[in-house]
Formats: sequence, C-alpha cells, structure tokens
Amino acid sequence: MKAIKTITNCCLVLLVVISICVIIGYVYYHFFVKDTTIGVNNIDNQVGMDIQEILKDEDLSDEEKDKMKDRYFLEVNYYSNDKNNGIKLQELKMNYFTTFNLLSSDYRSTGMQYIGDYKGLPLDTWDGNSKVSFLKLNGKNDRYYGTSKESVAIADNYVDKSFNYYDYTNEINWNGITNENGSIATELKRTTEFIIKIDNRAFAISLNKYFDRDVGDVRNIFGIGWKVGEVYNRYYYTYASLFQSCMQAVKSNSAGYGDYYITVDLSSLFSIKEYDIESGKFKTDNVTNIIKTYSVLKFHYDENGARNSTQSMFGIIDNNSKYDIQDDPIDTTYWQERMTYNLNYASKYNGKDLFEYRYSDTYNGYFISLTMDGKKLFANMPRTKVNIVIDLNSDYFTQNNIKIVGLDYNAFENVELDTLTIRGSTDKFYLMDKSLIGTQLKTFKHSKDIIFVGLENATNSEFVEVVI
Amino acid sequence: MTKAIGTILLYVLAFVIIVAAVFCGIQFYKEVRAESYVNGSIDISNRFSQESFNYSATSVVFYHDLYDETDTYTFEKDLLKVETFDGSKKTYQVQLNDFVLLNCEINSGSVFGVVNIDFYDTDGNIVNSAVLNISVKFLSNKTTLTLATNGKENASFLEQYFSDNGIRLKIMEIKQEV
Repeated sequence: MKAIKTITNCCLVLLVVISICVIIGYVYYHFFVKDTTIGVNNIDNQVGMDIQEILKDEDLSDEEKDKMKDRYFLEVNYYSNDKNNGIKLQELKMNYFTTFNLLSSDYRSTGMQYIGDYKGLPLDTWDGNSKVSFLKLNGKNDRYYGTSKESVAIADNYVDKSFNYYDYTNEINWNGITNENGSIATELKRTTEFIIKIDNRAFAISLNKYFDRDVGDVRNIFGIGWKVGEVYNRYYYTYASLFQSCMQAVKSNSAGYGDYYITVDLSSLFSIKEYDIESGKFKTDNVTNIIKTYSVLKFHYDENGARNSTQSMFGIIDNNSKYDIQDDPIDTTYWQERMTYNLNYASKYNGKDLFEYRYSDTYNGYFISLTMDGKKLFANMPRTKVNIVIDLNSDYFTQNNIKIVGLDYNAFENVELDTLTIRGSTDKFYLMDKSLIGTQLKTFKHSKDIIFVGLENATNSEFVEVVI
Repeated sequence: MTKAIGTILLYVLAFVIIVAAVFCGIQFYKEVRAESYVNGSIDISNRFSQESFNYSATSVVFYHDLYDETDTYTFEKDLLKVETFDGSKKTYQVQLNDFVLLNCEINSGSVFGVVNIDFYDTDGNIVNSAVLNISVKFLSNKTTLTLATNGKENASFLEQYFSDNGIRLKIMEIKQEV
C-alpha cells in the first residue's frame, strides 16, 4: 500500500514537473518568441459558381464573358469635376452574395453615393462618464473612453446620413432606406455581414474594427495644464471610413483618369471569417494573430463632372433616376433609328472594294454591282438606310477607263435601298434583269439626259423619280 | 492536522498546475502548429493592356467646352493601351453596336470614322439626323477614344440612343485569306 502511495506521489511530482515545464515553455514561446503567423485572404472576382461553368461555353463571345467576369467586391465611380462641367460625384459599391451557395441568383450589391468631396472622420462616441479600465501587464491602468455598452451600441447602429444608399438586385437599383419608416434595404452598419467568395469558398466580412488614440489625462490648475497619464478614446471605423479611403486611393492613383484595378488592404477595417458548410457555422480562427485581407478595387476616375444620372453606377443621382443638370433638356423621343450608309465607288469593306465591275463586249462597257460580301453585310445589319451614288463622270472611272453602261443582273438584289443616284452624261443606261429587285427603293435620282433601258424588269418597287 | 492541510494544499496546487499545463499545452500546440495560409488569388495583371480594341458602356454623355466656339460636343475616354495595332500592315474592321462602319480612315496608329444616324418619329418622319465622328488613337501608354458631334440637339439624340442601346465599339483585325 505504501509502495503504491509512493509511486502515485512520484508520478504526481513527475506530472507537476512536466506541467511546469509545459507552462514555462508556453509562457516563453507566447511572450518572447513572438512567432506571428500571417494568413492572407485574397478577395478576387465575385462571380457566381454557376457562372464559372457558363463561362466555359464556347458559344459566348469574349465581350459577354468579360461582362460576366467583371464583378468585384469593391467598385468606385468618381467624377472629379476638374473640368468644371458638372457636379462632383463619388460612389462606392460592394458586390456580394445573399447565401452561402455563391450562385448568380444570390447576387446583391449595396452602395453609397456622395455628391461633393466627402471628408469624414471615424466615428467618435466620446462618453466622458464611462471610464472603463483595462489592466495592463506592466501594472499601469489606462482609462478608455468610448467603450461602454452605450458607445458600442451607438457605433454598431450608426449609419451616416450624408450619403445616399442604394441596393441592387435583378438589374435594378433602388433606395429602400428611410428615416422614419424603417428600412427595406441593406443598411451599411458595423454589424452588417456580407457573404463573399474567396477561393470558391464562402466567407463573411464585416467592417467592425476601431482604433484607440491617447487623448491625454490632463490636470489643469489656474490655466497651467500638465499630463498625468494616458487616457484613450476609442474611434470606430464605419463605411464612411471605407468610402473616404477608397476615394483617396482613386484620387491619388498614378495612372490618372480612366478605368483601372488596384488591390487594397482591408485588414485595418474588416474582420473576416470562413463559413463551414459541414457544421453550418463560421469557423473561428484562434491561431492566426494577423489576417491580411486584400481585395481588388475596380474604379472609374473621370476628370469631368457628372451631368446626368446615366453616369452614376446606380443610374440614380440624389435619389432621382432622371437627374440632369441641364436647364432646358431637349425632347429626344423617337421611334427608331437608322444608320445611314452613303456608298460610292470608293466604298470599301474589310479593305476590299464594295462594288465590282463586269465588262461586256456587247454593250462595250462595264456593269456595276454590289459584291456578295457587300450583300451579306447589309443583309445581316438591321435598320440600315443605304444610299448609293454612281457618278459616271467621276475621276475614278475616267482614270481607270471604266465606262459604266448599266447595273448588272441582280446588282443590288434584296439590299434595302433608300436612294439611288445616277448622274453624269451617257445616252443609255441599261438596267439588267432583277438589278433592283427586292430593294424597296424609295427615291431614284438621275441626270435628265440619261435614258434608262430595262427598268420594268429591273425592279418591283414603287419609287419617286427625281431628275437632277 | 497542519501536515494534513499542507498535504491537501499541495495536492490542490499540483492539480491547478496540471490543469494550467493542459490549457497551456493546447495553446502551445496550436501556436507552434499554426501555419500561414492563403485563401484565393488575385490576378489583375492582364488589366493593363488588351489585344484588340473593345469599348463598351451603358451610356455616353457629351460635354461642350465653354470656350469652344464650334458648338462641338465631345465624349473623351482614356483606355488601356493596345499593343498590337498596326493600321499600316494589317486590315481592320470597325463595328459600332450592330453596325459595321465603312469608309473608316485607318492609319498606322489611329482610326477615324463617321457615322450618320437618322432618328424617326412614330409617323416615320425624320426628327433628327446626327453625324457622329469617332476617333481612336493608339498611344504608347494608353488608347484615347473621342466621340464628337455638332450641336446640342444631335448630342442629346445620340445620348438617348446610347442610353437605350448602350455602346459597343470594336476594332478587329481581319485575317486575309491566302
């Protein structure tokens, strides 16, 4: 029995010795080795997981792919009005997801807009009455202000009213924040958590950091003051802080005006945590002392001032989708537009002549027609208005010994023509069969001396004839 | 009695030390095993140049310089540089939205084109005919795009057109068939 007791005590002593060694090792490692582990989160594009599959489709054009791929967590639109031709406009938008599935159907964006040059400060919730002390290891008690429950509540619920806020869903931007009736939009508070995609995994990001500044514990007697200790005030970062930092970054960029991408460090403002799909909870990270978070910021920086709401990334300025600084806007109501093509001998398509010429021994001259490529071109373009001018006496024809005697068979077949003009001097001008068939020609202009032969078999259009 | 209390205190102390050691051990293990990690990657290196010219936007706003007496309204944009454009050796096609622009003046490092657009009302009458001049200059450090028209009315109709349809301006190299 005594032997067992002795062995137990020995084991216990051994265990205590080992424990002391472990404690010493831990204290030494933790306080003296200072082995800081740095993790890095890189926030790249916020393209839905389903879109990444769609992007592999070869039928999509590069333009369509670029549009789908161009979605970043932070976007800035900045009209500096350096040319003094509009208004100063600053906008920041955050693109994120509403669920952890990270699909395009979960896209949502929230943004803030400031008219002018925003110059804000971190939120100061100075509460001189609450003196919360924190024990420091060196035995000195520093006092902190702005850390009471009331201060934290103020900071957490703070929304800067100097901005206009917009949400974006299903191609539409809107402002759902009102002061009296609550909000149906995403409020940019410190407690707001956005779901974003990093490395195809879901993370939550929230702007909840702060900094403490020594405001000094000062005594004052008869106007003579001296500092007796350190007193800290806590300043809370808000989305206004992020807004100003982004604008400062854009304003100072070395490339100047234009559309560019930069990588910004969000570590001092945002906390970030990973969502664990298996447990359905966020992972807590208690081993990494510092997590650096880098994010792509896409920006447009303009030397002009904003003139109307189409220049806003939300399509809205000051909650007005029809915003325009012009006093007397012109009524631009129209039904359809037509792109007008004025073709002549010099017209080229892909570096080649648009017209071709066939020589006829019988008629002792050339017949003109549109090339097949030209016909295909106009067949594929909607809403065109094509005018053709054939100047028989032009220098080009004279210098190249091209004597035009008429329009060739099927010369302009099925090419929708508005006006055909033939001018110059010749006795007869031959219109071969179907040369103007299916053209829906509206106006036929020609010199008065020209006699047209074969017009009845050349066209099925009713047109206005104008002698010039 | 005193010895018994001392023994109990010793045991309690040993217990506290062991519990503390377990806690420290776990933390120690975590800190020693902690590894740096990187989530995701960022690649914006390809955002400083593009292979061929391609500009798209949802709207265009024309500005009139107060000191300009020609009544010209312009839209100017600095874009990423294009490394491969050579108008003296290669053939290019210029497209504005669904339309191929003919008769463009293509020089070694620039492209100029003129677009005529008629706008019709619901009765089929022309309410505005606007001429849009397009200029693209490929410089060593950037590409500049300038759209210009004459008169406020033309500028307003063109703005409306681009607001309705967006703008997609492309300059593409045409490979000649051998």
